[in-house]
Amino acid sequence: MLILAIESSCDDTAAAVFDGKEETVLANVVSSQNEIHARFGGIVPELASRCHIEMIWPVVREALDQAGVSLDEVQLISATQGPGLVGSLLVGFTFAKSLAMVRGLPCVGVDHMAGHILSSMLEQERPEYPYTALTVSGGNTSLFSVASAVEYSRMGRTRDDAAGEAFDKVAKLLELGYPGGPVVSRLAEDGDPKAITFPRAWLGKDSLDFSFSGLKTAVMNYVHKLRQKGEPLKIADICASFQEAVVEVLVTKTVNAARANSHTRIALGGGVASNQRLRTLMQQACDREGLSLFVPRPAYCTDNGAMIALAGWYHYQAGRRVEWDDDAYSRSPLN
Amino acid sequence: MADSLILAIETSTGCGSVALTRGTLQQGRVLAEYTHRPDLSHSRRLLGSVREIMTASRLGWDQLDAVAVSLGPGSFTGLRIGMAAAKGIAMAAGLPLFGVTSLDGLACQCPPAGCQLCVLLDARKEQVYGAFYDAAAPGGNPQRRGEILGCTPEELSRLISEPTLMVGPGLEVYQESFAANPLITLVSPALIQPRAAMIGFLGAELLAAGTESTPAGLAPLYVRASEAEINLAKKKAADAASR
Repeated sequence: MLILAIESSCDDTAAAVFDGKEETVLANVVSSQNEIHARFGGIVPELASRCHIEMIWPVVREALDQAGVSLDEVQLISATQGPGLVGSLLVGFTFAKSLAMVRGLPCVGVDHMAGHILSSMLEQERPEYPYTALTVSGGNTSLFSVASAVEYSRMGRTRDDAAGEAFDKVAKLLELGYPGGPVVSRLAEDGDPKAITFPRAWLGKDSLDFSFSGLKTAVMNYVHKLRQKGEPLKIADICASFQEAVVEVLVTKTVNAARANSHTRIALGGGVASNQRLRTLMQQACDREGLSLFVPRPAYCTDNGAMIALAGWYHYQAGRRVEWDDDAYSRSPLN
Repeated sequence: MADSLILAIETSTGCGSVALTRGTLQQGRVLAEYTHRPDLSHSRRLLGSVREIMTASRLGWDQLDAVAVSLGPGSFTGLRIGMAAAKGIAMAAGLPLFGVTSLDGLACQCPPAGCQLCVLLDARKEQVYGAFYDAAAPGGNPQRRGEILGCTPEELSRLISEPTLMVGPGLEVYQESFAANPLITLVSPALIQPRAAMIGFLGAELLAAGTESTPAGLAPLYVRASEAEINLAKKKAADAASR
């Protein structure tokens, strides 16, 4: 079964063509809006929506062309229904529903979180069920117990900022541009992760929730103090020490969650899952604990259509369909 | 193509409308039209309405000649929902897609009054979207004169120096702003609301005129920049002034 998937929950317009039977990605196209939002230092929802309405047609066309598939051959439409920016979601979701309605095809509305939870299943080396998933991006930081392709229960989530949001805010503070996450990680490579002791928020012994706003404030205070004294900022050390504080908490809590679930497998998803330091420390922890780690390639970590196709395919088989007048939603029932 | 069959979508205000039309305003007819007034999100009724008029008219997608959609101005999110639906339908059915200005559709609903028309929509933030139209010649549509404006009702009123028939849903909110100008005759806003049928008729004219359909990059007429862009421009101007 050939699946066309559309994702427009935030600032990327994405489409993918996926072969459900073979479970292979035939095309995965993403149109990024980074340049448009960079001058505002963050995502402007109205501008994101304006881009989506202009990009949706060419991105879907490009995905079909790259896959060498005509619309006549598509048998299932899958689209992100939420969570995210509603104005953005509505463009892709409405376009997808319209395609399906006219073509007489089934249409599945996918939860964006399900896409990230399942994204490691897009790789050759994929986890068996059950597994523990950490989804970590600019919008979310959550831990899930994954029982099957369509059953996930949340174990913990961030109480304030998402991890990726903290990276972006620190980058803004250090005037490193937008999006800041990748720049912070790159600069951190030349820094000492132990140079500055930033706080780790553990939130109680057994808590699997996260909190990154205190860490962000600690970095701000540290930087402001040095700036007031007129002392030079060791940017690489700040980035490395900040990143270490984030990654250490992510790794420890994810391993604790797997242990609490008696799971032997951990999977990562979301834009921050492509952070090299997170991958390295998570792998070391898994080796130590006898756990298997599954991390998708970076193109499947950041927002993409392939994961929405896969999740749509699983949910289709579980009998899920959208009605033509179903609405997009901003908050995930999974989260 | 004078009697072309058009599926039209108009979502520039809270009142969403879909229609099937045959032909143009002067020589055509409305086959079916659903216009919803309650304040329910367009995403929760638009496609269901499209399906209903197609079913009620016993028409297949392959019988359509084109899709027409309101370009606005109007509610940004409403316009994008309508346009996303129109683009999806056009791609899936392999049909040309034409955009029609929402104000033009409103102007077409006015009977010839022998004077100029001023059509307006609520733009929120104490502003209106407005445009002026020459009185329709016999057998013709009202012709828009000049740019589409985004301004306060007072600014719009000051532009009026000849007898003018003023119409459109913008009057629901700003009627009082025009009451003092003796040149203006107000038409009850309940009479003239956005109708997809008008978008369909004007779309048929574009199709008949051989207008090229460019669905890929088609975008709403926003008239106004986003708040973020306005604020950034203000900040830059302030920075430049303080230097």
